[in-house]
Amino acid sequence: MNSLDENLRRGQVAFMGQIVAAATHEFQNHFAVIKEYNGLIADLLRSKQAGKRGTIKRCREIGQNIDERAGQAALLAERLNRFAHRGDVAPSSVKMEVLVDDLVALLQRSAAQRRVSLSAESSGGLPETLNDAALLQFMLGSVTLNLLETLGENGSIALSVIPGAADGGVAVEIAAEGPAAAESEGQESGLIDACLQRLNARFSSSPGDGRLVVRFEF
Amino acid sequence: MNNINVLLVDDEMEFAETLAERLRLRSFEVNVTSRADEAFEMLEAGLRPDVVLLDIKMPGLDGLDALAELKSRNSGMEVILVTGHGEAASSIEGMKRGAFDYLMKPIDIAELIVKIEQAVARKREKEKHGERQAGQ
Repeated sequence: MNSLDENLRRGQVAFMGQIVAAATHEFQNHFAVIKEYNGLIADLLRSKQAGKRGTIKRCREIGQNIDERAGQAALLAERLNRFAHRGDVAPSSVKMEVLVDDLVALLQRSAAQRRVSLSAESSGGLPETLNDAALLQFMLGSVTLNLLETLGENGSIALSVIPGAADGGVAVEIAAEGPAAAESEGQESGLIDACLQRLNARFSSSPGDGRLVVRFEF
Repeated sequence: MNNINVLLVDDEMEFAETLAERLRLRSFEVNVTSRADEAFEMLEAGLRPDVVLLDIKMPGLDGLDALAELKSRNSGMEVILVTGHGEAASSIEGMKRGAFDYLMKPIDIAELIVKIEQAVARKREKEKHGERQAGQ
């Protein structure tokens, strides 16, 4: 394994670690909220107000909240599971909208910590592409994280999956907008170049006043 | 122990509001905010909590910096840190910087109440000690 392969491997492992750490933190939050709701039901049923209509109504509301929270945790688990399995086979058929949607959901905590809004959009009905899905999510995730580091509070990043320039191609645009916070110390460009080469992708960027759009063509 | 005023600072509002409701059922006075800077504004507006429950990982100001700011505004106020999984090192650092104690999420309410009461007892002891020294 040459040093570039080694760096790429290390980068991917570190990126997966970041995703897993953020997701487990979110699971912890979901469980903490569910535990408090459950405790609150027990408190209300033990209280002098136990049989009253208002208490029963409140308990029903709490039950619905528990259901919603459990649903959010299950969806996060589903996304994390897909994220982990994208490394199973390469190349594989990649549904870019799903990959980007999962990535954005898994990076939400990092964005919220910096008070930056992060969203995913898709024009829909796009063809699947044959590619290295694990490397794809690593490259798109790394670029997004680098942009997050450079944005100040109230900035925004939008990932859009759109038709590519070539017939049957798919492109991903990452648009970052907002006040600058810092110079990025993220992935060295050599790693991104290596990813682009392995993914057979093209990259372009168009910086503007307070706005940067990077585009990947697959 | 009566009339205990608790300020809960946690960006996970569903968690904070539900915990607040449970504490109120136990006769605590509880205020809730999702941001450290809002907590400072509440203190400036005259809120005098006995204990602050402070989430260590929040958007914006880091929990340890928020702790320092809270202690600099009112050194007698006790702060209990609330942390997620795998943040014990930050909590221990927080205790070195003046936090009374820390709790890991999910929280056990009985354990939380014991820690709040211990923190209030220490706060009131410090206040008595301060009054005695001022009287001498």
